[in-house]
Amino acid sequence: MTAADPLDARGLYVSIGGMPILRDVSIHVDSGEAVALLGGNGSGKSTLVKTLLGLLPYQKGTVELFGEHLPGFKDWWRVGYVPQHSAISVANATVREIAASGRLAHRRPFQWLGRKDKVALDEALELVGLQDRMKWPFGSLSGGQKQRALIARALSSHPDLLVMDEPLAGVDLHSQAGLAQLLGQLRDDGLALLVVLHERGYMNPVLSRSVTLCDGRIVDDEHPSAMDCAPDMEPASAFGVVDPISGVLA
Amino acid sequence: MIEILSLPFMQRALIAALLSGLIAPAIGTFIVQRKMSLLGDGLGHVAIMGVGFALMTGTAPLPVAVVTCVVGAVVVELLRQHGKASGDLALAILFYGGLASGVLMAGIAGQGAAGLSAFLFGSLTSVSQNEIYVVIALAVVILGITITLAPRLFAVSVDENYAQVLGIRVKLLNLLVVVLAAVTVTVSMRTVGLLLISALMVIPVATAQQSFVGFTASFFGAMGVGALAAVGGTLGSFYLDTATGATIVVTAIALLGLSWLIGGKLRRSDRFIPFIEDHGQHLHEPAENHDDRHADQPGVLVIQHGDHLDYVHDGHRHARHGDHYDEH
Repeated sequence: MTAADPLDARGLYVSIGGMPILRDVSIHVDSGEAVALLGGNGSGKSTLVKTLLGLLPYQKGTVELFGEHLPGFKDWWRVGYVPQHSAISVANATVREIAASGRLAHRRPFQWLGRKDKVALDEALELVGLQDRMKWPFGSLSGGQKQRALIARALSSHPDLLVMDEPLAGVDLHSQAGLAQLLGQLRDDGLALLVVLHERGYMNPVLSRSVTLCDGRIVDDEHPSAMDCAPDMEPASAFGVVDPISGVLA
Repeated sequence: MIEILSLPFMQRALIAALLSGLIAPAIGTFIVQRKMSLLGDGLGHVAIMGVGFALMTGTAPLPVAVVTCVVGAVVVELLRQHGKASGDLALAILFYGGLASGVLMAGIAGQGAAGLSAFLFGSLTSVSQNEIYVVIALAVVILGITITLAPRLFAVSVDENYAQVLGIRVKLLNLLVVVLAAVTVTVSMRTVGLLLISALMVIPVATAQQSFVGFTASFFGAMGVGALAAVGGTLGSFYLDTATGATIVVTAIALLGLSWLIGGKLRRSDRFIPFIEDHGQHLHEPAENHDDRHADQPGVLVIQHGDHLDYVHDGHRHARHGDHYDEH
């Protein structure tokens, strides 16, 4: 294992359909660090995460994962991606079957689940506390449990970096605290975390630092408490203030 | 029964139907998961163009239809991948263009719609000796690829972004699925027929999802249901003297209806109890001398509430707490 940082992106410019979304964005995650990516709706958080994972092309800049440039990066098992649980709709696959996909990073095509895969899978499910829900259909789980199942899927490949897209979205408050505790435990075990968040909330004690995106630019990498950008960038603010109760423009 | 099996044309029809019954739901599982249930129907329309062209030029219909349908499938998938198939307009033009030009070419060949009918709805006597070998070879290849690649195809159909981050070649596998679907459609045209094959890709999958828990169980269950419907329908069409494809599809729908009736018992859905966290903060109303005969009865909704089970009756949740009952 090299000492290279899990993630180092510099001077990224990303446009989608000619529309500039990210401008001169640099972000890095050291090993063992938990970094929050904050920002309001439309700030470019999701675009940045997708770009860092190679799901979207970028026009300028560099992305390095574990010291290797993104276009040539091969060790994808070292990156565990956890999307929002609402992005997954399956008819009746079980929790274990969903999580087993994570092992594909280590398996060649045409190769079925081996003993090593099964051990890693069971360990991951136990770590997230779903060992007694393994054979349940994914769809019958609560939001928090679904999120845990997707974390188990990412963990089963034994990654060194976990990239999560709003892990607390659609999860009830009680489960949010439990999830934050789990992520803190993973960080203590040496996993680097990059977590997209709407607000720090329950994740606050877990985070080493935060990066705030505002209108496609990084606005604050130094002062983790400053959150003044996000409310200003709500789309409605350009037209006036929306009364939160009536929904009427003031 | 035995004498039917000694008829050569019946042997060929049964083999072809059995293979279609296995491969159509196998590939259909991934198409349904990707919410593209009607893809098979569209590809069937494209294959009609191949059949029409073969009739017009006097060549063997199966190879021409396979090539036409695979090309059509690749075009459809590439349009989709490049985001150009918006509003399904391009697909509709391709599919109905295929149907119209196929009927047109069959007409020029002097066959008309009647000559196409055996390809559209299936016919027992139409599987020739040469064709059955092609059908077996293609079916074995499709089955082999689909089963061995099932974990990858599953990962892609559930969550394309995640699969790509795993390093899986998502676009290639998506292309593979539609090509396999195209070959499945054409291989099945003699037995199930091009207009009905899509049903065999979708209905057994729905039946299996009613009856089994888990992707692997549903995947192989769908193949079993498909094979049962295909063989049952083929035998039925011999006795009833009906179009094979129509009989197979009606059999498949009957099996789906059956699964709705008994599927609940097979799945034992009561094993999967909804869960509500117990925050320990809501009011519990102790209900003394409460009648709890309703608990553990079939049909009573059970909810796991923190560390115990609640039974829903009269619009509230009812739980035994040691020596008393609480209403939540």
